[in-house]
Parts: sequence; C-alpha cells; structure tokens
Amino acid sequence: MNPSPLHASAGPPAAAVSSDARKSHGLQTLVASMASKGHLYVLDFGGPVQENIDFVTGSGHKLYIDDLLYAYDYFFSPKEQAERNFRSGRIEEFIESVLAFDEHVADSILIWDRLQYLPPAIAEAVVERLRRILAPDALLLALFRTDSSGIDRPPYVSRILDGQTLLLREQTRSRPMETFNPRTIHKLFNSYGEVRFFVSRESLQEVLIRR
Amino acid sequence: MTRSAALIGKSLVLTGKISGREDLIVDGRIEGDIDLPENCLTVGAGGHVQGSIRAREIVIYGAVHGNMEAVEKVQIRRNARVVGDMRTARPVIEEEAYFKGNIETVRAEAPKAPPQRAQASEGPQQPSLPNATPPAGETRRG
Repeated sequence: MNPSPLHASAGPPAAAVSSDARKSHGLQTLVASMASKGHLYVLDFGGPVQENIDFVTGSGHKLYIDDLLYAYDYFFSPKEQAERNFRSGRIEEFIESVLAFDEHVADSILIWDRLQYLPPAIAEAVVERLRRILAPDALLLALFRTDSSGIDRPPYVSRILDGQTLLLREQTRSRPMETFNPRTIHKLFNSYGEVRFFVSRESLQEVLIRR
Repeated sequence: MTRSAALIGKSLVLTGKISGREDLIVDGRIEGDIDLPENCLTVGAGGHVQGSIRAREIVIYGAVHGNMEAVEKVQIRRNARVVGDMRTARPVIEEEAYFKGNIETVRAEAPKAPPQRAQASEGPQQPSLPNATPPAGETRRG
C-alpha cells in the first residue's frame, strides 16, 4: 500500500520543492493531527489550488473550496467595500451565503491569510461562524503578515507542497490589509480554546487555532 | 471516420434533461440535468449549465451551477465559474477559475474483464485470495 501524502509528511520534502518554499510548522502540526484519521472534512477558504486539492483528496479526505475574498467581492457592492459601512443585517446575510454549514462538521480549516484582507467586522463574524462549524478540538490554520503597516499588499496563493512545506506566491492585485499583532490575533480568536504561534520567515506569522 | 461532438450553439436555450451516448459541447444555456455516462461534456466559454452533470469526462470553460460526477476527470479551466459539488477520479482546477463546492475523489472504474471460461480442464486450480482486489469503482476511504 502506498502511503498517503499525510502519512508521508514526515519524510523528505518532495523532489519538486522550489527554493521559494518554506517549512511550515503550523501546517505540519495540522497535518499530524489528521494523519491517523480517514475521510475527514477539510475546508479551504483560499480558493482552488491544484496542489492543495491533490494533497487533501489524495489522503482520502473530502475537501470544500471557496475563496473568501472572491465571495466578499461578489457579495458586497463596490460602494459598500469602499466605505466599509455595512447596513444592518448585511454581514449576517454574507455569513449565511458563504458559511452555511452544519455545526461541528469541519475537521480542519485552512483560512490562510484571508482574514487579514476582510474588514474587521466581517473578519470577526467569519471567525465566530467558523468556531461553530469546527468540530471540538479541531484546528484552523491562519497566516498573518506582520509587515502590513497600513499599506495595500496582494494576498498569497498558498500551495501545500508536502505535509510540512508551503509555497507562498503573491497574487497580482493588491488589497487593503488590516494590521495584526499577537495581541489582536489572540483577541480575534478569544472564543477558541487555544492559539499557537509559529515563527516563520519574511514577516509572516503562522497561527494554529484549536476550537 | 471519427464523429464530432454534438453542439448546443450559443444562441440556444434548452430546458429539460439531456441524455445520450455522444460527446456534447455546450456553448448556449441549458437549464436541466445532463447525463452522458460514457462521453465527454464540454461547456464552452460562453456556455452555461444550470443542473447536475454526469459524464465520463467534464471540461468547463464557462459556467456551471450544479453538481458534477465524472468517472475519469473534471477539468475546470481558467476563468470558468463553477458552484456545485464534484465527484471524480481526477479533479483539475486551473488558476483563475472560480470553484465553490465539495470535492470527493473516487477511483476510476477498471475496464470490464471478459467473462472467463471454465478452467477445470486447464490445470490445477489456484486458491483464491479473498478480498485481494477491491471491487472496481469503490470509493476511497470514507
């Protein structure tokens, strides 16, 4: 029997690993938590990336894909996005249209850097809904850039090269980015059970959150 | 002579179920389910399908709103827009495509073996190995 990608995660990196790849302790910990379990339900809100599809489904898991930023752009009008002033009920409508899952249905969530590009009120609503969706003790992986300082930056395309290696490439279009530090990240996830920080290269904070 | 695929032209709007045994290209709009279990369905760049799709292979350049099942492969090409769940042996989604839904992989069905003749007179019978090979088409774990 060939080992699944999850079970092979402790081995050497795949031959195709690029020099831009980086070791991800957050991903490694999340993958390790899934390694002995079959047919889990993984939610990926970074949009479709072929390597991620192959990695998750190749391990026998079911994968849900959406891109939170695309969904945000599609749902809210340019005026709402520019003013960041959402009338009563709009955020709830967005949450219902994008995150209509049963409670505790997700075994892992990959949200990557998407929370940092949402207006704070929407990011908070998303985080609260994800807490309901996650199974008890399940993990959520998020990335936060610490070099934001109020400037627009392009979101990442996050590729899983193997169970411990990520390749991050910036998209072409820059977007407004919220500033986060460990204290504000803790505050964002204060209703969760545990928040773990992992040091990463290039002003990037990997955060693994346990429900 | 190779037969070309059937074509739903870009000005056509069809409502209802489509089923058959030939490849199909959709450049128009279909509101209904499509069932081509042995063939390839292609939704062109201007094509739109609102309904579920079952085919041997599905290739999408346009828009689909519905669930998809393909024994061999689903390919969602750049700039396509798909909302729905997919079950296939090989899901392929290009960058700059939009996809929202679940992906489950299934094993491609092995070609059916021809019926075996009785081998009683052809030598000693080999012991059978129970469950040595999973049945064709078995879903992966879970």
